Amino acid sequence: MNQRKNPFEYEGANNLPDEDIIDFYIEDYNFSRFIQSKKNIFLLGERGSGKTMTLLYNSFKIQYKKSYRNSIPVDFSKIGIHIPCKNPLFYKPEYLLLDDEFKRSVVGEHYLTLTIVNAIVETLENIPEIIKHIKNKDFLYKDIEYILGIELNREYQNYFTAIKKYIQKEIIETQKYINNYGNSEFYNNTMSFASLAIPFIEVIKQIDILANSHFLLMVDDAQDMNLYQIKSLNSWIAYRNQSHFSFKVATTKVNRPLSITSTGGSIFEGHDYLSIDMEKPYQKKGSDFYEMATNIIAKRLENIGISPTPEEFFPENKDFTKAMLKAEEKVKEEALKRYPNIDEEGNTKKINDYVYKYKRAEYYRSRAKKANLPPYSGFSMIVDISTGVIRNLLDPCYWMYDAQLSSQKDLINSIPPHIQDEIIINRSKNLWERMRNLDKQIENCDTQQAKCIYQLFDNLMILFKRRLLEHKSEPRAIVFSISLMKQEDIYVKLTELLDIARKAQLLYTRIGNAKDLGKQEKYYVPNRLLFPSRGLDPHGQYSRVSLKVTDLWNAAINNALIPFSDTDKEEEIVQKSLFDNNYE
Amino acid sequence: MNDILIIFPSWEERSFLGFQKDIEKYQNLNKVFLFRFEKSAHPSETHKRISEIKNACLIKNIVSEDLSIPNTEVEKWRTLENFARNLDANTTIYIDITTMPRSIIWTLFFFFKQRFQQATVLYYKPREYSNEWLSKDPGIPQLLFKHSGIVEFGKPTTLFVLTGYDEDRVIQLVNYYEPQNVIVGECNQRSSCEYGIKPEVFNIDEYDATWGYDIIESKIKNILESSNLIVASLGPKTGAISVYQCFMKYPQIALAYVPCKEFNIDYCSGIGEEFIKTIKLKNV
Repeated sequence: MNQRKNPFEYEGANNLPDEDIIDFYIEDYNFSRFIQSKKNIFLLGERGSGKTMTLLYNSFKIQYKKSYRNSIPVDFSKIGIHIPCKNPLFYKPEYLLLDDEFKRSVVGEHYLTLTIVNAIVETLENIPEIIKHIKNKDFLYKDIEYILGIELNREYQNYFTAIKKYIQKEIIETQKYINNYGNSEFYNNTMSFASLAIPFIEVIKQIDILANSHFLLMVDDAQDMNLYQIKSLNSWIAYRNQSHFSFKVATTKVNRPLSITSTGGSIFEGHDYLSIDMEKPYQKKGSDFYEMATNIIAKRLENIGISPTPEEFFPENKDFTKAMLKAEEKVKEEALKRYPNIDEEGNTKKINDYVYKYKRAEYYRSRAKKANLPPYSGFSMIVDISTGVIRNLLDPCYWMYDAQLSSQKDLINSIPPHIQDEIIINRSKNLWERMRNLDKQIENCDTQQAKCIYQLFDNLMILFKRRLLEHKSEPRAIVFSISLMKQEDIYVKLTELLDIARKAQLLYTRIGNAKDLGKQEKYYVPNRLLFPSRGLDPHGQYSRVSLKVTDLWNAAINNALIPFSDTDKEEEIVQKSLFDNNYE
Repeated sequence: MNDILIIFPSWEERSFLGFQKDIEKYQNLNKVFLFRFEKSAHPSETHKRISEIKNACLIKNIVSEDLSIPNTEVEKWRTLENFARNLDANTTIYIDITTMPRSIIWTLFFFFKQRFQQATVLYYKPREYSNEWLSKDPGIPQLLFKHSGIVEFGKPTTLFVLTGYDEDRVIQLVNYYEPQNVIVGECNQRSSCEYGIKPEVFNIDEYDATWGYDIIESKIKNILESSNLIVASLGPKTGAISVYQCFMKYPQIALAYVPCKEFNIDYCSGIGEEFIKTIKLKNV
C-alpha cells in the first residue's frame, strides 16, 4: 500500500476515477433510499457537502462496476443517469439576445434535453448485457428515427453509439448556428423533453432487460441553469406519470432554483418532490454524521493499509484530555451540590445535563487569561470543525497528513496532536483571511459587503467568547436564529450579507423547531473552522441563541458589539431536543 | 477613403497622451469616435480626458462623435452592432485599445470582421503601475455573446487564463467555472495563488513581436482536441488581441470576461511604449 499518497484527497467528485468513488463513498442509507426511490428529490447543500459524490455513487455506471466487483447480479430495475450541468453549455448567454421569452425557453430546453439524452446513451452504450438484449434493432432504429425525423448512421454496431453520435452532432450544429453572425439566436430544429426524452425512454424500454427499469435522472448543479431551464425542469418534475423516470436534482441552498414552472405554476414540496439537506446538523459522537465521518476516514485509511481507527489516528492532546476530565469532575461536584438528592426523580438527568452544559465551558474558564490558544486535536474535534460538511472534514486531514509526510520517512500510524493543532489553527486563520478578501472571490460581493461580513463574524465570535466565559446557563450556544424579522428592510439587507457568507461556506443554515409549537425557523451555523484561531470551542451544545436583526445589522455595518447578557430571557433560548432531526 | 479612430477614454493619463500620438501618426483621420459606458468608473476624471480629446480634435479639424454604450450586456451588444453596421464600407479602421474594455474590443472585432478586411490596433503601456490594487468588486464572469464556444459532450472543461497583476480575479474565475484543468499564462512571474486546483503555468510576454500570439496559439491548439476551452485575458490588452486572433482561428473556444465595478484611480501613470499592429479580420 502506498502511504506516500495522501489518502485524504478531496478533489471534486467529478474528477475522481470510478474506482475511487466506489472505494471512498460511504453509503448513507437515508440518502440512498430516497435517491433510489421513484420520487422526485431535491438534494440541497453547499459545495463540499457530498451531493455530486452521492449522485455519482448512485449512477448506474458506478453501481454496475460495484456489482461486478462484488460478484453480485446487476440490478437493472433502477438506472441512475448522472447529468452534470456545470459545463460551459449552461453558461451560454445567446438566449438573452432573443426578445421572445418563449424562444428563450425553447433554446434552453433544447440544450438541456440533449444533455439528458446524451447522458442516457453514454450510460447505456457501455453495458454489454443491454446491448446483447437488443433483439429488434431494426424496430428500435425506426422508432427513434421517427422521433428524431432523421436517419441514423447504422454503421455503428452499437445502437446507443449511433444515437450518441447524432446527439453530439446536433449539439454542435445548434451552437455553430446560433454563434454565427447573421443567424438568429433561435434554432429551428429544437427538441424538447416531451418530443425527445420521454419518447426515447419509451423506445428503449422495449429492450426486454429495461422493460421494468425506472430511470433516475440525476441533474447535478441545477443552480447553474438559466431561469428558463429551471422552469422547464420544474415543469418536468410536475409531470404526473413517474413510472418510467423521476428526477433527483442537486443544488446549492443559496441560489436554489425557483419553484416556478414554464406555465407559471409552481411545484410543491411534499406533493411534487421531497428535499434532503446534505449538510448534517449534528456532529456530536453518536450522531449520524459522526458515524459517517468515522466510516469515511476509516475507509480512506484502510485503502492505504493504515489500521488504527480514526480516533487512534488522530489522538487528542493528553493534557487537554486531563484538563477536560478535571473540569468535568469540578462541574460534577457543583451539580451534586445543586441536586444533592440523586434518588429524587429527574435529578440524575439534571446532573447529567448540568455536566454536559458546563464541563467544557469550565475548561475554557479555568484557563489563565493570558494563556495561549487551547490545543485543538482529536478526531472528534476534527468532526466538530467540519460543521457537518464532508469536504470540511477531509481538508484539515489532508493537510495534517501532508505535514506528517514531510517530516516522517517511515510508516505513519497517527498524526501527533501538535501537528493537528498547528494545521487546524492555520486553516482557521486562512479562513478568516479569505473572509477579508471575499470581494475578490465571490461574484457580486463588493468591498463594503466583504467588510461588513467580516465585522459581523468578528462580533459574533466576540459574543460567543463572552458567553463561553461568562454565561450562566447556555455558555456553548454557537448557533443563532434571528428575531424581530418584522424589521423587514433591515432583515432583507442582512440576508444579502448572510447569503454571500453562505456562498463562501462561512455560514450554513438548518431548519429546526421554534419554541412555538408547530413552527419552524431557520437557524444559522457559522463554519466552526472559524473558532479555533479565536480560542473558541467548536463543540457546541444543543441550543441556539436568538439575536435581534438590528443587533446583527449594527455589528455588520458599524462594527458594534452584539449586546451580551450573562443570562438569556427565557424566550430567547431554544433548547433543542437531542433527537430533533428536521431537514430543510 | 474614410479613416476613423475609435477610442474608449478613461481617467488614465495615457488615455489622452496616447490619443495625441494617434493623431500625430495618422494625419488623414476623418473622424474620431469616443466610446464610453453610460455609467463608468471615475466619471469626472474620464470626462476631463474626453474634453481634452475633443479639444485636440477641434484643433486638428477632426470630427469627433460620442457613442454612449449601455452597461447592460444585451444593449451593449446591440449598440455596437448598430455602430458597425452604419460604417461606410470603405472605412479604414484604427482602434486605440489602451483603455478599452476587453468585451468591447472583442465585440467590435466580431462585427468588423463581417464587413472589413482588417483593423489597425494601437496600444500604449503606462509609464508605470502602482503597487496598489488594480480593480475590485468583480461581477459575475460572462461568456461573450456569439463567442461562447462549441461545447462537446464528454470533454472536460479547461480554463485558460492570461493573468495580469490581479491574481484574485483568476481565483474568482476558477471558483465560478470549476474547471477540471487550469492553464495560467503569467507575465509577472509571481507565484501562483492558491487556486484550489493545481494549474499548469507558462510564461508569456504579451509585448513580444507577436503579442504573445505564438505561444497562446500553440497552447490552445493542443488543448482543443481533448477539452472544452474557456479563455480569459486579464493581462495586457495586447494579449486580448492575440486571444481574439486565436478565436478567429478556433471558434470553438469560449471567450470569458469579468466586469469589474471599481478601479483604482491611481493604478498607473504616464505613458510608455507604443504597440501597433494591423489585424487581418478575414480569411483567418
